[in-house]
Amino acid sequence: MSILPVRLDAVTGAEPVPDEEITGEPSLWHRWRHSPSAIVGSVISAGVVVVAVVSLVWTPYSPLAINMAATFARPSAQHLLGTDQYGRDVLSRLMSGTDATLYAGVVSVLGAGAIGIPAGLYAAQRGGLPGQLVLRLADLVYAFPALLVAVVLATDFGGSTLTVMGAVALAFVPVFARVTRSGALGVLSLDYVTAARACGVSRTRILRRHVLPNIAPLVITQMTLLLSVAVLADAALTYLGLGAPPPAASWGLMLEEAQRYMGTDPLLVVWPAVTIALCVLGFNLLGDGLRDVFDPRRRDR
Amino acid sequence: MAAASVIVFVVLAILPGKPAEVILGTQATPSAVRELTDKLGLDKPIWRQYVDWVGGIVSGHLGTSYISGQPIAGELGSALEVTGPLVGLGLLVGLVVAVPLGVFSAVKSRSASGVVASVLNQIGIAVPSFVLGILLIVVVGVELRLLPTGGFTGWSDPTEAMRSLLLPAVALGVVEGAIVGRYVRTAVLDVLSSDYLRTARAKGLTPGRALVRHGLRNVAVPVLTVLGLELAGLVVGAVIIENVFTLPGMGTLLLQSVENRDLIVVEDIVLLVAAVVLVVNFAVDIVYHSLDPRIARER
Repeated sequence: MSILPVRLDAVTGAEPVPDEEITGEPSLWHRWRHSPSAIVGSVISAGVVVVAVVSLVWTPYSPLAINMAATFARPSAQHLLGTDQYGRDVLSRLMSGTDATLYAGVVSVLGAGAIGIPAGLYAAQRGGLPGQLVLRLADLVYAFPALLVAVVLATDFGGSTLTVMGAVALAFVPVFARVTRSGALGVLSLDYVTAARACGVSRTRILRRHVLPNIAPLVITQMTLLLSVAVLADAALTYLGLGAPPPAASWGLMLEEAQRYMGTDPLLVVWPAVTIALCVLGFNLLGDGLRDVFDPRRRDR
Repeated sequence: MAAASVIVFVVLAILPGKPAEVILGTQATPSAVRELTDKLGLDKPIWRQYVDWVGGIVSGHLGTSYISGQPIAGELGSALEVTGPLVGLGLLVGLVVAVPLGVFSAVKSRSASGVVASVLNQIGIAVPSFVLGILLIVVVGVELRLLPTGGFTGWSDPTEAMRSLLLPAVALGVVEGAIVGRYVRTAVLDVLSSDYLRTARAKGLTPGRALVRHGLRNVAVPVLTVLGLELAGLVVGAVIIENVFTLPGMGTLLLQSVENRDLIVVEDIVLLVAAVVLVVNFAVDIVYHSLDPRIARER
């Protein structure tokens, strides 16, 4: 499937762009099969998504159901991963945490993209003072890591999932702005864009028809990589108490609670730790893999 | 920087909860609240409070904590005695991990051991530092009882202090090291395919010697940049790690202040960290240009 909606040369009469330069043959599928990162990453990521969806309709037990008769149960047929200090089923809590993490991650990445991508396009298109202003603003926001934003938001509004999503999204905006801008600048300097402009095609139309489709692979790759950062940030911020308060089933909270009981049951720490690492690894590999697939020149690097 | 300070202040000043009410609790009489608000200078207009705050920072007074009534400079100073060494140690551990790992996985990139190193590297990136910290506490602290699981006794006993900082520094450094290691690997791969390395080999140097004498110098440029950027990551990471290991550093102070709504402390620390990030980024830019003059010419 071609990413480009139209053959640009047919519209503008310019030289056709060789397929290798953009994303065409050999097929994406072919390159996907030859990228170990892409395969492993897709499998893990797909697994994470499936677990999240399943947890919406079914978990072995309710993630919040307390059973004081069965606290700190060892892994068994009844509770595959055992139970925690309130006798809550660890597997159920991990599953429902997947859903929460994924939701927060996807919302913050998409939210950041919704602001950062137009800002980057604007900076690339306008240049000059307004463009510079956008860039400086992005630099300024960049100086505030998600943790600091979350701290400020939590001082104002208290810790919540919204706090985490807002902080992570804000931290990602400058990343999107930079990536989009540098990608867009590359496309805007191509001959067929100049030709389109000479034909009187409007700026917004050039951005929509020529720039966006060409930087889409770049942006999608970035989104996947940022999703892994979001998962990480979500876990860390919730662990610090800046995210959803107890008794919510989230990975960060599970770690925080497990740490208090690590003398009693060290396994409780291990499950969420492994889950977080696996999830981050999956999205990371998928992002790396997508980069291989979309941009074969970067292979082996 | 100035713009950053305005943003921090305004965002924190317009919050819904009034610090005076939080300090005095829900039982406080309105007149007591008014009196304290007066004393803290919170009745002045926002711009006036801002000028006082910035004026204080410029002249070296960070203000007085709303809660403890202590000057913040003192509290922050003793917190930095923990955070500073922690970040330094973390950076050291990071380098010790990154350089050998990156060089090894690049040199052996076509063999099984190199692939294993790469995979380990990926896993290292995927484990967040605070998760690694907790795992280290469980294994080294609780199960093996080799090192303290948290807390800090102060620098009066340097050995004990280092023992307390060792696990947190490893947790911080290994993850940062794994990230930097990826860049080392890329840089070394670049150098390995370069013409001058082939020349060095042609004049009779062994692969190892050629890489050490001609290669690693060129690797330094990109790696230094990443390292600088990672320094910012280390500072942020330290905030989290301190809470994992209950170290009385800047990060613990920050989160306590958030809980107590001790605005002025939050403002100072947030601004300090943002300043560190900005300064480091700027310094990296300068060092980058002076190490590789070609970059300046390209612009």
